[in-house]
Amino acid sequence: MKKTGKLTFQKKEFRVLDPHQLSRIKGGDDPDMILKGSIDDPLRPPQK
Amino acid sequence: MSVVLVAMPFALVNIPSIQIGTMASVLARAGIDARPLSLHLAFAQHLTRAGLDLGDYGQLAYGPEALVEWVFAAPPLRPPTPAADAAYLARLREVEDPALVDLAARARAEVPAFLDQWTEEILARAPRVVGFTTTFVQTIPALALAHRIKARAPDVKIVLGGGNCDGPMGEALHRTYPFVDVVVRGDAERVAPPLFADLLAGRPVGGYPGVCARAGDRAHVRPQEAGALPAMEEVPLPDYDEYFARLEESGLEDVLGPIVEIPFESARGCWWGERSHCMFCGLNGTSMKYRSKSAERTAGELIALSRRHRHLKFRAVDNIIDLGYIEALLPRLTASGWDLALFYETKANLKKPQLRAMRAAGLRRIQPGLETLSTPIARLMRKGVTALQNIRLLKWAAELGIDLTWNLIYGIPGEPIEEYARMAALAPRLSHLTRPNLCLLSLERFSPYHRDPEAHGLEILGAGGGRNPNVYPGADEATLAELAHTFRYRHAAGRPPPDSYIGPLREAIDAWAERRTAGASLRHARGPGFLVITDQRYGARGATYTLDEPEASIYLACDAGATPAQIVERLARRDVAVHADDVRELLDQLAAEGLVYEEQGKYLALSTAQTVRDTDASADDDTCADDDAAGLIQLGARRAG
Repeated sequence: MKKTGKLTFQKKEFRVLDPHQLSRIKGGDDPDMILKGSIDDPLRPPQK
Repeated sequence: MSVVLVAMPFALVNIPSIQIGTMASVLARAGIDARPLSLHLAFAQHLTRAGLDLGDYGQLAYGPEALVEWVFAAPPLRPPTPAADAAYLARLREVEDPALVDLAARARAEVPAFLDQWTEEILARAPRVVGFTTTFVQTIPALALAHRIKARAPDVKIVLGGGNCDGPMGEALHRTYPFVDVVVRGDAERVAPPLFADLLAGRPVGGYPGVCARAGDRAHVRPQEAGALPAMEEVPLPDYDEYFARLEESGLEDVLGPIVEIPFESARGCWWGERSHCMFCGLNGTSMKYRSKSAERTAGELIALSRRHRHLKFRAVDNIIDLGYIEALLPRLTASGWDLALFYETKANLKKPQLRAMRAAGLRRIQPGLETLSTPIARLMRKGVTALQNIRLLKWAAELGIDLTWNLIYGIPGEPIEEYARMAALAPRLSHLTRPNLCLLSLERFSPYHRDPEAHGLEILGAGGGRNPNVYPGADEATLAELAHTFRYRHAAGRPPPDSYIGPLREAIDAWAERRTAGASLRHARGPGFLVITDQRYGARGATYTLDEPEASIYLACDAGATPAQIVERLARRDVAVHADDVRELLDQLAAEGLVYEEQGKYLALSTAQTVRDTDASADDDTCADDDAAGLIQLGARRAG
């Protein structure tokens, strides 16, 4: 294998999130998120 | 009882004294009944009963000598001098933490009762000889108790030994404090059995190398002899039974138990110091000659101590690990299957396979002699390493899960001041690695700087540490200088004081500590045909760098540090053709991003591997070998010059 031309790399910046922020986005096991999901989730069908 | 061997405060309370433990075994082997007495632990217990805690003891143990030894500079060793003490403490408050000064004063109030209690308890055992070890800040505590014992029982012989008795310090102690009958200077394994036998028999002390003794009013001082150094195979297993029994009875085991470290000794002297004595180092006293136990013996002792005390944490007191142990000792420990946790001091130019072997054997903590992140300053210190090697060790230790502690020493004579701005700029890029403790050069006895201060632009002003009239009674300036292990000094006129130019580095290291605590990381992960480097060193903004082939291989080839030519050659072995100029251009770009450290045309990748692999082709030894050669060439050039 022969590579010609300039050698390069790709850089992408990102925001470092704290675990709470990350959990809110990913919907993980954050206690607040679970609470909200069980009560306020607009997509959840109303309980009969 | 024949002999009591005492370890005084402020030895670290979670560590039994290897000095008295070893001496007890030396004497037992000679048929002499000698009992260790861990009064450092007893004093910690004494303080807790007075409302202080183990943290207070620990703070004092790590405190400045001038304050810590003063705690025991109490009557009758030192006559009561309230006005002088008040003035002394006021001066200390100006330069030390006032809370620590207050703590020392409070601890000091407990000292007379402690000394009374232990004078009685020791004499109740009817010893003929009481021996004290003196290392770091134990000298005045030892003198204080020895003075009381001698006053109460003049027939009891007092013997001092340990690090603070080496060379002229021991002779000055013997001359200044007449209640000390004998001072043993240097290694005591060979001289102790006949010496203690003489004392127990009431005979005049024979002429043993390094020993200071009295015959009537006359002192006899025998010179230390290099030939009297014991081989390490002569050094027996220390006796720690008394420490562990005292710990169990102390009521402190619930706190101390989990953090107890058993000291062991596998070598004395320094093999590097024999080749190139680091300019600031006075650790080895009068005996630099390196001697180590066989790997078989060391492994056997570790296992014996572990089995006896049901304990797994060990601390080598060696000044430098025997590199032969990496092949001879560590595999034995690995194969044992036991989860030992060891600490060793090491040189900094370790190779990755060596670190892997250490980690596998349970060597989880090291103190490498890094001392700087500047190659020119390392050269001045005669460390025989480069900044690149030091950073590499920090990186590999982080990658392999080996904790380390290290010092960055400033104030080295002749150091290029601009190197401190360079190190300050470099520091943020190392936020994912262990930060240093920033230390001003300490001028130590037995160091090359102390041996010839003028040649290095240093002027010695007098005794340092705790050697002053407020702590050491009855000693004039000249005697204090003989007693001292460290010295006050200043740099030659015209050179700015070091504290005037290290401010930016100090701030950078503080920020480094904060980032590290916050979880700063720089990791690379391999994928099929690519490499991702994730950079989270700088707080809220992170970055990922994706490298395809051959860029990924080029970056990984920098694991140990490599020149573009070395990388071209390495890739060519895998039939990958790249041009050195292109490689250099890529690495310069990565260096600008802070992913690579460049020094003298050699590039070191800074990230740690997300997955640690047992075999890592990128850690070729050839570039490490080049480093070693470079270090020796530098030394050779310096010596020749």
